[in-house]
Formats: sequence, structure tokens, C-alpha cells
Amino acid sequence: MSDTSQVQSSYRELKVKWSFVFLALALLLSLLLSVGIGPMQISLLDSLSVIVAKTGLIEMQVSGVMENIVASIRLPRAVLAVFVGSVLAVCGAAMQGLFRNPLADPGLIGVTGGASLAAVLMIVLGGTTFSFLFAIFGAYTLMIAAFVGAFLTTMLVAKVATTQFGTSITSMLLAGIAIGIVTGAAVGLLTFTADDAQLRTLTFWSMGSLGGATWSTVLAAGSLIAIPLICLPLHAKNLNALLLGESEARHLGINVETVKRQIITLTAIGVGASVAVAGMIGFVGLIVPHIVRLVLGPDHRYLLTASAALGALFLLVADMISRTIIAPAELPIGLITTIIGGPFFIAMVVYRARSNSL
Amino acid sequence: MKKISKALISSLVLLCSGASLPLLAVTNELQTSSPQKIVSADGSLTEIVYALEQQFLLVGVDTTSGYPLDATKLPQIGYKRNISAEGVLSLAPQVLIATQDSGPDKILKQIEEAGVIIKKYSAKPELNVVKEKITGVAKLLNVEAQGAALWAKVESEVKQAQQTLKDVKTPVKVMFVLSAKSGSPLVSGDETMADAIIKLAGGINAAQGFSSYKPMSAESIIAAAPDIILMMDRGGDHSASSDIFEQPGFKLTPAAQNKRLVVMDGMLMLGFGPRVGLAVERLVAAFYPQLALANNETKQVNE
Repeated sequence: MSDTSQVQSSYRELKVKWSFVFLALALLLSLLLSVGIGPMQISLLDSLSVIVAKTGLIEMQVSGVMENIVASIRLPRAVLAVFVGSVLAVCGAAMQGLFRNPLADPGLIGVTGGASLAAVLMIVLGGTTFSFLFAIFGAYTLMIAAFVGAFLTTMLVAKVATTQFGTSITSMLLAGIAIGIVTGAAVGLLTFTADDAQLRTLTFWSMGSLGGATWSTVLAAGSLIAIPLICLPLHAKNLNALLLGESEARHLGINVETVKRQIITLTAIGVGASVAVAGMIGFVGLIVPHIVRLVLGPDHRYLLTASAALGALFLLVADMISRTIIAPAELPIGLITTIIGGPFFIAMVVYRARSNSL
Repeated sequence: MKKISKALISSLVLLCSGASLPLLAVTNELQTSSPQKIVSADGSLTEIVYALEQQFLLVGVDTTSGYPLDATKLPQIGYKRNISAEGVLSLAPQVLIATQDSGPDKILKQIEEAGVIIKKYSAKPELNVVKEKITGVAKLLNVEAQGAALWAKVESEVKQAQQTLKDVKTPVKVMFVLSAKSGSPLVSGDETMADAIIKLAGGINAAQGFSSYKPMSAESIIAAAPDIILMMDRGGDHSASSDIFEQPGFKLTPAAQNKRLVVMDGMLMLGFGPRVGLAVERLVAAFYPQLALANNETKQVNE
């Protein structure tokens, strides 16, 4: 008996190991590819030589335009894709663990609703009521506003759901849905007053784009995103315990309230920053953890890290498609993730319903 | 309960028919005389009414009617693509002037059924259409002579502005940027008002290969290599245009190297109304400053 379980666990560990090797290689490959592919005709070799020259490993002469495109346009965009993809997936996995619900999504706790309300406020009223903000923050106003909006809304949702007995997950779910409806109504009201140019801007904002990537936005968003990327995997064991149920986790000696509060705050920071910098990119947080669970099982010790890697890979590939498929125009990345994610999700639901494991 | 609702419905029907009856009567009158009250559902048409000095007939305008400033003080019927039937009918106009892109169609139909005549003009960005709109509105308002004079003026303005263009050997590549607030900037492709006005002013639209307004990636913007960036003036909203050359993509264009950003009032530039001549003139001057200089020199020589 113990023999078979040992065999099983070593088989599992082997699978985990190889999955991580595969993910790391695929991530590296697609990073290189996304630096090498774009509407401008630059060969993969040339792009690589730019990177090599930049790092100063080898003295090399590269053309100015090429260097600029690779170093200041493609590379920050690829790095941003990695950050945003990984944090969306890791936060999705954490939310699903926290809510013990396979359909949980960072949108449930008001992050996306708050961010989009703030962003639409800036797009529609940025020229009039809020022009002073643009005077202070310049081109970063929209991002800062979206992040602040996301964070404040999430804190409000958490506050509503918290009583003297702690934060109730069910109340949080309901409060999140209710506040999502309220922000949706406010967005609708603003949309109604918007003019043509503003309508187009906010429509495309809600489909997401990594096009705003510069090294300074990567640095700003990346330093925020790094916090949940590092801290959420540290909660893996707590999330595993929470899977058993809250009181069971408490009996295991886990301070459930603190864990809940930390995970929610980390998610608000991570998803808030990524929505602020890239707009709404749907389905990554929902589908990536599901794929990982399908292969590696529900153990959060692997789930969180593997989700981060797969999320980064998914968004890198989606952004490559976004940039090139209808060049010189750009297909919004949120459309691509949902076009890929939707059917996949349906297939998975069908598969799991058949095998009775949903 | 049923009786009450029946009574309600019948009284409603009565009310509706009662409201539309006087309007119908007016409609019949219109065949002989010009309308006394009109509502405009398009900014360029409003401008035409003002240019024909018939603005006293206007009892309502839409949100795109921002010029002349007086027009904004008139009762509002809302955004031209989203007008409400009752709002228009409450102003009791005989005629609603609109363009093909005004709507929604369902609402226009309701307004028509209530007895208001709807005059629709093309919304295509062409000089022919400007002529059509001017002569059409003039005919409607019984001021055909003024209409002909106005069109002649507009036409000569455009021709005069384009006169200098014959000396242009290499046309400039112009990129119209609608918005660059977040993500990839929204750029105007083919089949847009912006594309049409750029061509009229002797430029080439730098954004080729797609129609309408689409997000364009930074890299594609560099590849398109625009000489000039063209943007709308959003009335005090400097956030859009001031730091455009700081953005990735734009930074590496010839336009940024020579700091060539042209900002113009949206309705003037893209309205295709009676001010189209002025718009072309200003754009030509902005696209080809060397021509204006050369012209002045020849003038001085002639003097």
C-alpha cells in the first residue's frame, strides 16, 4: 500500500518537474520569438544581435532604428506581457482557492469594476473636471487612476463583507457582485455622455492592449506586480488548508482572517496594476489555473507557480497574434484571449461534467 | 383591471393621434411654403443653416452642432446617432434635417410617422456631398440663390487653397491620431473624414491597410513613418496632444524629429460643412509652410 502511494507521489513529482522544465523552455522561446516578430521586417537574428549588443557581451554594430524598435518597443512590451499574464493567472488561482469556487475570478471582488470606472472617468471627464490630474500626472494619469480605483473598490468590498466575526466569503461574493453592478451603471452613465472619440477610446480600453508599454510603465507596473507574484505562492500551504474548509483550516492552526485579508490585498495590487497598465484582459485568470489543475492537480504548491508561468506564456503568444495578425492595425489582446479561452473553457466544462468532477 | 387598462390604452391612442394631427396639417401646408421650424441632427447642416442666415428657423440641434457658438444655446436633442423621438417632437418642428449616419432608424421612422418631414443627406466626406447639403438645405428653406452663392464661395475657397499644391513634388505623409490615452493609439485608416480631408489638403494618409479608426501598434507607426501628426483640438484637453512625441512609436517618426504636430478643431477639420474651404486652407498651410513662404515672395516681387 505504502509502496503504491510512494510510486504515485514520485510519478507526480516527476510530472511536476517536467512540466516546469517545459514551461520554462516554452517561455524562453516565446520571449525570443516575440522580440523577433513584428510588423517591421527584422530578422530574428538581427533582433537577438541587438539584445546581445545591448547587454554589452559582444561589441557589435547594429542599426539605430532596429535597435530602437527591439530595445524600446518590442522588449518592454514582451516583458509587460510576462508580468501581466503571470499576475492575472496567479491571482485567478488564488481567488479560486480562496472562494473554493472554480469560477472565481479577480473581477468578483470588484477589482476590474473599480478600475474600469476610474479609467472611464478619466477618458470622459479628463478634459474638463479632472484636467488638473492630467496637469500633475501627465500621460500616467489614466494608469494611476485605474490602479487607485481598483484598490479602493476592493477594499470597499472587503469592508462591506467584514463583521466582528471576520470576513465572510459569501458576503464578499455578494458585495463584489453588487458593487460590480453599481460601477457598471456609473460606467454606463459616463458612456452616455461621451463623444465619438471618447467612445472609441473606452471601447478599445475595455478590450485591453499592451501597446502602452515603455520601460517606465514596465518598471512602475512591474514593481507593483512583483509583490503578489512573490507573496501569493508563499500562501500555497494556507490555500491548501483552506480547500478543506475554513473551520478545518483554523483547526490546522492557520489564522484564516489574516490569510484572507492578505490574499485579497495582494490580488487587488496585482490585478489593479495590470488592469491599469493594459486595460481589461479577460479569461487569463480563469482559464490558466484550470489548465494547470488538469495536468498537475489542485496542490497550490505547484498550482500558483505553474499558473504564473503558463499565464505569462499565454499572454506572450496572444500579444504576438495581437500585433501581427491584422498589421498595421492591432487586434485588441482581450479579444484574442477570450476567443482562445471561451471555447477551451466550454470544452473543459463538458469534459469535467462527463467525468463528474466539477 | 382589464377595463382600466383598456381605457388607458384608448386614451393614450387618442392622445397620440391628437398630438400628431396638427403636425400632419402643417405638413400638408409645407408643400407650398417653406418650413417655420426645423431641427438639425448634424453639425455640418447646422453650420449650413447659419451660413445661409436662416438660423431663426432652428428650434433644436444635436450635440455635434458646436459651431457657431450660438448653436449650442439652442435646445438639445442629444447625440446625432442616439436621438429620442419625443425630444424632437416636443420642439414641434416641421422638418428634421439629418445625415445618413443620424439615427437610430427606428426613432427616425417614429418621428416621420408623427408627421415630421425628414430630409436626409449623405454623410460621405466628399466635396460633392458638401454641395449637395448646401443646395439641398437652401432649397428646403427657399433661399436657393443664397445657397448657390454659398457653394460658389466654398468651392472657390477650396480651389484657391489647392492652387498652391501644384508646386508640391513630394506630398507629406500625414497620420491622424484620434486618441493616444492608453494602450495602442487610435489611428484613422481609409474611408474616414480624416482620410478625406488629408487628401484634399494634398497629403497622403500615412496609415494604409485598414479602414475606419483602429488601434495601431507602436511598431507599425514607425513603419508608416508619418511626416506630420494631425490631431483634434479637444478644447482645453491638452493631455491628448502635448506629449504625443514622448510616446513609444511616435518618438521615432520623422514627425517627432521635426516636431510637426498639427492640432485643429474637430468640427472644422472633419465637419465637411461650409467651412471645408477654411479647413483645407489651414491644413495646406500647415502641411507645406514652404509654399506659403514662396507665395509671399512672388507676391512681393509682383508688387
